[in-house]
Amino acid sequence: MFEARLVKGSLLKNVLDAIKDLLKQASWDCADSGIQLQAMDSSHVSLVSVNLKAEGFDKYRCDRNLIMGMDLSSMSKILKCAANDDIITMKAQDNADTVTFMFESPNQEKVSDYEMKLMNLDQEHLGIPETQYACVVKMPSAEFARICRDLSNFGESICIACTKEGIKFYAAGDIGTANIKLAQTTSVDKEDAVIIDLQEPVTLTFSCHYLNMFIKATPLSQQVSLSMSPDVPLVVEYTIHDLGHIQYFLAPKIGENDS
Amino acid sequence: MPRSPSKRGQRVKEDAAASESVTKSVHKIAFVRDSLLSSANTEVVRLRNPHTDSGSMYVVDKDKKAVHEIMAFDEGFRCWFIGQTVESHGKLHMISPVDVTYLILPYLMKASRIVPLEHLLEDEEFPDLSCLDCVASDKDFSHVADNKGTSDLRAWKYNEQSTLEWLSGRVYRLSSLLQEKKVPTSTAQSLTYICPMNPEQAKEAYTVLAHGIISEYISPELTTKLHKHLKLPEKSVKPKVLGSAENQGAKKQRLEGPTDDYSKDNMAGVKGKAAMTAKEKALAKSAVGSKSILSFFGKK
Repeated sequence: MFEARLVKGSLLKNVLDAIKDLLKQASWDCADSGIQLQAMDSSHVSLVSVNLKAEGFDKYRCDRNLIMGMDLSSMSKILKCAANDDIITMKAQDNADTVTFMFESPNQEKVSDYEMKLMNLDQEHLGIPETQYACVVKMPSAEFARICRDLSNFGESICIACTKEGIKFYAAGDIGTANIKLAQTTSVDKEDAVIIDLQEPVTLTFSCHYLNMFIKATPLSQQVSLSMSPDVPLVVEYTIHDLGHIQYFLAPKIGENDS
Repeated sequence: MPRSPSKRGQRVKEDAAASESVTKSVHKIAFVRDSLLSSANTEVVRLRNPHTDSGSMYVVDKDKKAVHEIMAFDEGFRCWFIGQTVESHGKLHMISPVDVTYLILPYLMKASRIVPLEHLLEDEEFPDLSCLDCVASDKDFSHVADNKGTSDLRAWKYNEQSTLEWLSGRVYRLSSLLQEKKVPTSTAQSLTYICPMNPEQAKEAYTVLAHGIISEYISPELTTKLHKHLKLPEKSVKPKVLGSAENQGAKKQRLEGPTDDYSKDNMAGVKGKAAMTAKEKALAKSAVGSKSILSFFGKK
């Protein structure tokens, strides 16, 4: 028997909004420690990893490890039926072929049950090596979202250059070029600070379209962390307060680093 | 198939003489019990089939005093690969033990006088019948016949009542086994599909099935008697006949084989492309120029 109850149901809605455009189908691995999801997009350029800790749920029970293959657009349709202040409970029997979503209104006056068919997905799990990144930038997630959106008007790819002074975003296209520079803020404590932890300067180019998919996770966290190293995938991480995190891995574009 | 071939599958080479029809093939594929292979004194004989009254092949194991029937499973278009060669004769043979009582029963029923067993087991058409004597000599046939005279005379008189009792016992045993193994009772071609039935219905369905299996070992008239004895429902022949007449056209069409050619690759290709939405296309386009994430992260 698997059961996970989340009083702040909107979190789950946001998690799904953050991944459903990138992934059509994915398997949720439910274990005693929590729920995990790892999947690549259809073009195999990016990887999404979601981790929801058991402690983050208000009630969590998972007797046996369970892999629930789901059509994420269907799951999203179901979660759209839940109000933002609803309590969401996910339930499944061992070896079941369906999962049940239960939405309770805060005053318990309305209870909705949705049952969804599970799918058998043949997905391989990728091992992500522990990497010491050359630079880790923490910045307000809204700021990052704004930059990605703005720069996507100029070109198909965004070049991110990180130096001691700050982080620079650059895009070029038919209408011209765009340059955004963010300097490291001096006050480190605040969530809207830009913090750069730099070992060596890095410049990498990424697809704009993918970054614009990643910023759908912005409502989940005030802060986003970008980890980069030369010739390895960029990691865009959003921490979900008290619940876990979403990580997006994006392979860099080839041959455009020098530009 | 009356018994499931739970024995280890083995390839055996039988004598060409063992086959009913003369074929060019050298090899035959058969499931054989290990014990039968280890037995030194076995003989393949042609005996009267109790159901069809014509000849069928049996294996008599004289050492272990057992009779095995040879069942051939023929799908028509089938060949075997044996090592590096292709065997065009695609029949699958199953050799499984059978109670000698079934083979002797027709003779017991036909016997006009009470004669000792060795005199009973004489058939001009099937001279090999005498082989059964060694198997049947020690056996007690009191479940189908009454013993007449002294026991060493081994003279038996057929008793219909006790035969039917014995056969119904077989049917019930078989039906409970079928039920335990969850053998599908309908002709639905799915093992996972379980037709919802109440226990009473299921029990009857299994009894009917078991009766059908047992009836392959007894004569048709005994089958009807057993049917009545078991108080099974009358067979509904009518819909079958109607159905076969009406559906013949449809069936013929189906027999013509599949019309879709899945060997052509383009079917899947077209489908795959059609499934891609505009969003996915855009995503695929923007992925151009990026390395695959798989080149960074290995499969676990």
